[in-house]
Amino acid sequence: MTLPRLLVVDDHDMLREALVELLRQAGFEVVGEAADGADAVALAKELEPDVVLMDLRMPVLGGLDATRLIKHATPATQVVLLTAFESPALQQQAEEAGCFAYLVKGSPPGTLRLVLHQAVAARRALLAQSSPAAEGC
Amino acid sequence: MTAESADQASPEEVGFQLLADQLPDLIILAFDPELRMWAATGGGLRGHGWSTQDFVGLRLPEIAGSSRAEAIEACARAALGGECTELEMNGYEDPAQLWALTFVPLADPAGAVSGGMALCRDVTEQRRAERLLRAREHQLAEAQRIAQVGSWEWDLATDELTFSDELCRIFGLAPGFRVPIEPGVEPLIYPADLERVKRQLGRMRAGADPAPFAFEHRIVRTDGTVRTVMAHSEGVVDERGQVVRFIGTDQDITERRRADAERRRLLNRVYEAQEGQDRRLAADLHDGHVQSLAAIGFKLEQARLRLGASGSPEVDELLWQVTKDLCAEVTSLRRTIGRLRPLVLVEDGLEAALREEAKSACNRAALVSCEVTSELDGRLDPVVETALFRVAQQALANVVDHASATHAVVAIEGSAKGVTLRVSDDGCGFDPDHVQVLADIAHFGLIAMRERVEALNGRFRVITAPGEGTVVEAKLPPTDPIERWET
Repeated sequence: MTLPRLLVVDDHDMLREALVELLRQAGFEVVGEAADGADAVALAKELEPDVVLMDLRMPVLGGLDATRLIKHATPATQVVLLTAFESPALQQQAEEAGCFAYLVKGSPPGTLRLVLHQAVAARRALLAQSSPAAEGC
Repeated sequence: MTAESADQASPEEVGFQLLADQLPDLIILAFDPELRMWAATGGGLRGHGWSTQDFVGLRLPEIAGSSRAEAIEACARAALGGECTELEMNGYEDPAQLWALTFVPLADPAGAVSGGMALCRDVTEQRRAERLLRAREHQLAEAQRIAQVGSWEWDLATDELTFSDELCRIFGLAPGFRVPIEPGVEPLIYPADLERVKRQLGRMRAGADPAPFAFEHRIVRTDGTVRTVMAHSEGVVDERGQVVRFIGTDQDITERRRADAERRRLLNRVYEAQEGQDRRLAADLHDGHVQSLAAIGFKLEQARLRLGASGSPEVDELLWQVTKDLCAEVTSLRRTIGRLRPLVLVEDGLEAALREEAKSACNRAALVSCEVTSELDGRLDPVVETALFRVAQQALANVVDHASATHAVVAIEGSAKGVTLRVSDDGCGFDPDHVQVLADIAHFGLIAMRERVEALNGRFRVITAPGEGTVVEAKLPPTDPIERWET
């Protein structure tokens, strides 16, 4: 089984770099990075990662709008929202936009890894349902 | 009648004598063409310790000594000439006394003037009372001028409205203004307030309730300037208890209202500045510190993973603990940001923000439920939303910290008259008059809540009693800040 492929999207460089390093260390393949929602959509279409780890508030295009576009373009790609805002209303909006999960910054790193693995599994299960040949990719 | 015939008085003359004796303060002196008095009568004689004999035989001008003799003689001679004249003078024996003398001709049965009468009245007390009354009226007028309070009277029988001089000044009218109330007052009322004033007049006329009331409205002076007055009035009843007229005052409160508006404007600026500062602080914390701390947390976790099995369990434990503590700090910081700038309020409006605040209150207290009901149709002005949210936030904080409540309700209603927020609980309540409670009011944030509401021209009140829960109510008027609440 290939490494879980991630796209990391956050406009805060230090955070994004730390995340990328941590996730690589934790056994994920970070296939791409983006600092705004528009770049994230373009990269998601191009790279078709298992999961997009997406910030909420970003320049050019916000995380929720980017999620809608990604889910429209590549429905199997899972989006995990990682934001500093804790809000049930936002959580609801994230769900409606098609996010797999809504995590707040400051959640234990173990939680982040666990949720990402669940998202990867969900994506691969979806692909397996729609195309048995894709199983094991 | 002459001096010679005075002793042979007719029954009518005797009756007149008796009647005159009963008239208090009156002295009637009859004099002949030589101005010599031949009769003196009236209750005033006895009242001053005089008798008829003190006057009869004397010439009339002698009664006041030489000082007014000429004036008295002139009046007496005028009476002999058929004229009626009046004279007021000080007493001869007691200069503090004031006498009013009326000189009238005295005709014989044939109609020819044969003498005269001087009707003398001691008007000392009357003049003193009149002076006092004038002084009081002057004082009242001065007090009205200084206090910018004018008075009015509405006679329900004649429907006539009468203004005091000061009220005339307030309206820019000439003194002595008096009109039928309708349509007389219409040109004097600010057009936007006219219907409200008419409704009030209708209630006064129809209900005829004498109970005191207050009513604020704007007026248009004759020079076109607009002023604000506060009317206080009450009904005057007759012996059957029917209201026969209303008396009232109008106080010019324009300057006070301007000062209020200025205070509200400044308070608004303070709150806007505070909200702005909170927003900037929240943005700084969110965009900088939270992200950096979260990044540090990820790096710590990365370090822990790198150490892996090769690291000592103590170091691993330490890194795990530091990461956990850091996560807790980030969570705490995020909540601080949420309080400084509730994102949901900005993005989703007041109702959504209240629901989150209610949920948070439930998590922080022993509340079984914290229901939010809203009759709002759409979003409110952002300033109104922020003010009401802050009031609800503080009220719910009080429920959590002080009320020992099990149920709380946050209700918000909107209507043409404005928007009302009520936060009620079934907790312990408090005695609003209790000294300790008053000392704690600032602690409860009640002053800040009140100021926040009043800054937007709204009304704030707390309904509570020991053991009976608490209701915090904030009413904000419609968007036009000039529109005021009916009193």
